[in-house]
Amino acid sequence: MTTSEMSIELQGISKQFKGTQALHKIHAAFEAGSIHGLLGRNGAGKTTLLNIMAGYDLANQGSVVIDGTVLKDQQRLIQQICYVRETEKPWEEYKLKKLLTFFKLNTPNWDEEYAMALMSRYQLNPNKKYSQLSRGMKSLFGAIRGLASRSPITFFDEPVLGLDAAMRQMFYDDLLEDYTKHPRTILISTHLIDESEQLFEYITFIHQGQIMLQGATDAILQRGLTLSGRKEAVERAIQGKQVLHTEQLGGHVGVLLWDVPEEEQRAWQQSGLDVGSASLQKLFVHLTAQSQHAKGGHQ
Amino acid sequence: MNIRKHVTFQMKDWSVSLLVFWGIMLTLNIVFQYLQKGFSFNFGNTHVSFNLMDALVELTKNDAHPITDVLFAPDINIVSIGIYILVAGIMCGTISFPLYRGLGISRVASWLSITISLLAISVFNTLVQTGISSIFAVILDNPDRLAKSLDIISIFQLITAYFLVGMLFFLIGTIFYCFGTWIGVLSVALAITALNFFPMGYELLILSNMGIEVAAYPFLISWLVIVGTFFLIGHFLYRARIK
Repeated sequence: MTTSEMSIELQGISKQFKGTQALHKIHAAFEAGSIHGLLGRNGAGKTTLLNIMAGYDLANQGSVVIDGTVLKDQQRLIQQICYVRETEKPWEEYKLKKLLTFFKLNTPNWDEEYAMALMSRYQLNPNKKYSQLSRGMKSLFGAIRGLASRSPITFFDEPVLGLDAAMRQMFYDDLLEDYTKHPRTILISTHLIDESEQLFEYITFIHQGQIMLQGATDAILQRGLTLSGRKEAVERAIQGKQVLHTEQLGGHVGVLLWDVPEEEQRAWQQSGLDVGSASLQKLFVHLTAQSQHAKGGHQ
Repeated sequence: MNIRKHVTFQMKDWSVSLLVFWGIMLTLNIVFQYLQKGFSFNFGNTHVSFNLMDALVELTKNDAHPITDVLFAPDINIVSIGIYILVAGIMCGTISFPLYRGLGISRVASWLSITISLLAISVFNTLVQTGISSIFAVILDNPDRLAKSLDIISIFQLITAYFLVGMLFFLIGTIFYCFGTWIGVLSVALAITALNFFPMGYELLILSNMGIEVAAYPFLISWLVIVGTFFLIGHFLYRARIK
């Protein structure tokens, strides 16, 4: 592991806001030198968790451990973290060129040349004030900060908010290109799961303030599958299996399944049923929905 | 912790506003001094004349401390600097702190750097004011004012007063930032009440005009308040949620 790659470990993080438990004893680990996706529904606690991991907020319980050191207020650790938020209120009255100077002065690995190249690639006018930027332009400026900072730990909270499809793709390409040249630990929180799936090496699902699932993207995708065929045959096959979702069309039925051994999948294929891979978005939607139903049932 | 670098960064951030502020104040000083001296001219058959001193004497003749002496233009800077530092103090709590922290500067380093910047700006403004009033005194051939302007105790008192204002309003800005509008407004009311116990600006001018030794100014209490405020701000900022 190089100094440009730092691991993060969460040890029992809990956070309460005026009687609401936003995070419940979160334990998780984020491997160094990888791109992690932090996925969760609205109000799941993603931003709260990122705020705590970046030292912007304090947990009521638990600690964030970066490369073996508990994060408190150490300058040495804090300057290794670049946290790109949806919007930055303190920047409102500053021109972009002044903000770029601030970044240059305070970010140890800041790449000025790369930042200026991105400014022109994303067609941002350095003489404009941050408050004059549209939602999408603010996201792009945040992206420039995150990429050019070359910080060993970079957090992006909804980095593509307000961007059109072409600009989003441009950001994903730039992120991957720069990450390949300068590997570091990147954590991205987003709602656009399908299109950002290509970026993530690891995924963390957060639901109702708890980590629901964490693992390598490939491993998670392998755990989910779709099965379709004649209704009777499918119903027979899925007995005793964890079904996340069912869709019926005439005499045919399609199901989304979780954790099915490979031998059974092969047997289904041999018996004429269609076995396919599930998309991350479908898994996310139905896993979180199922967890919600289970909670409702318990209550 | 590179406090020096962060203070330089803050001073750079304030540099444009300082330049504009002193540009305006210097212009006002010159205009004010000119109006005090008065002017007159003929406009056709009409004779126009104006003398600010006469107007001020007339306006304050029934006051407890009427203006009788010729006023010294750079004195108007004293309160203006106070207002500048008051605004800077509030912005330190509401904007500078989250800006610093967002740029990867730790909470403790941000708190120390902002405090030192406020002291630096108090010293800087006092020295500029001292320079301007000394130049005016020399140009107007007023040795008394020159001696007053260069009086080291007055200079220290001005620095103390400005730093006190800066710290109190840094605390208020911090309270606004950490606890929201209502508690912030309440803290403003408390601060204004507290400031009433300290002679400021025009009151200082009256005190010195009345021949009262400005050394009566509560120097020690001011520094005690500054130190208390410093630690209170630190306590709040260490726990603040960065918004």
